[in-house]
Amino acid sequence: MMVFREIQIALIDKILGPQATDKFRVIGYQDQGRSSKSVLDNNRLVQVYYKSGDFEKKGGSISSKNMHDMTFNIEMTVSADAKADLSVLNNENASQAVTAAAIDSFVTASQRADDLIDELIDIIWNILADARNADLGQEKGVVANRWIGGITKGDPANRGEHVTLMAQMRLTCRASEVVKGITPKPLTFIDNSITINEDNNSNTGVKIQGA
Amino acid sequence: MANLRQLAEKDLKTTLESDWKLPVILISPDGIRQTKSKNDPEEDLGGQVMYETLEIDVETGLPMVSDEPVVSLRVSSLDRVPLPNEKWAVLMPTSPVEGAPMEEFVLQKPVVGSYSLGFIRLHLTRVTQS
Repeated sequence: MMVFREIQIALIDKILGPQATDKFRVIGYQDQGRSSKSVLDNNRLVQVYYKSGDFEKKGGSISSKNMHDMTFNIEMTVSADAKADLSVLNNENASQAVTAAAIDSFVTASQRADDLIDELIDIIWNILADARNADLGQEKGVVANRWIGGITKGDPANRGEHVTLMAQMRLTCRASEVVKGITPKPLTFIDNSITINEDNNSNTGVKIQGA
Repeated sequence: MANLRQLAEKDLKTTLESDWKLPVILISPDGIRQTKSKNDPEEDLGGQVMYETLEIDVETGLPMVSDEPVVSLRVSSLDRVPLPNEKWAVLMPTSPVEGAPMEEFVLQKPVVGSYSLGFIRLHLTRVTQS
């Protein structure tokens, strides 16, 4: 397969996947249908997918290498709800000062979502920018110019009691692609042999009289 | 004779606090709980509770039902009126069924009020244990 596909698989299986544990989840495609509950707190989702690529115009013959400048999107999604000390709020006998402190300490969903996405950006950047991952899971020399080009954070969106927040990180690199061809299908053998079993009437060939 | 505004405010007892009333407990930023109405200390504090709100999804532009309760309260029944940017906690029943347990909510958005007409709307969000 092309090198960009191998890199994407390596990003998930060898680089981000082993580090996910209980901090986030990573998948290799854009998940269209997801609920705010599915990415709540440490179920934060990281989607890694090939976004675009450029090839140098001068390359391109069947036998030469093609330099592929590829871009991967690392999309991060989190959701959070508001938190407070419910044991105090539910306690009618709690003192006024304790109740006031509990109310003052409650954290809004948007604040928690912002903290969660910042933490996730921190984690992902540190993994991807690590020098030990410079080859992006490939053999040494395959990948060049690995770079994290930019990070963009989206706007919080209310989803009932949850607030969701997304961020995007752009990872670029360069690798050489070689045309390997599509795997051929086995040919169906066509039996085109002609078999003449018998010539009862002596009608074939040339008959030589007297021979 | 009362003017129309005064009559409209009195009518809130019928529209918000009679047949459609659900009990509500307000906890102010000072930690003070209000469980009874200022208008009548014998009566529980309460108002009209809408458990879901209809919003427009900003990504698709389509209407969606959001699990975000709204409580409408008569201003004159409150010991202290919530103001924007204040942190308040609200306890109210989880459903309109009699005897339903109370659930904790906090103010999500600034108070939307029609002070001139005598009622305020509190947009709430559920809160979980920290």
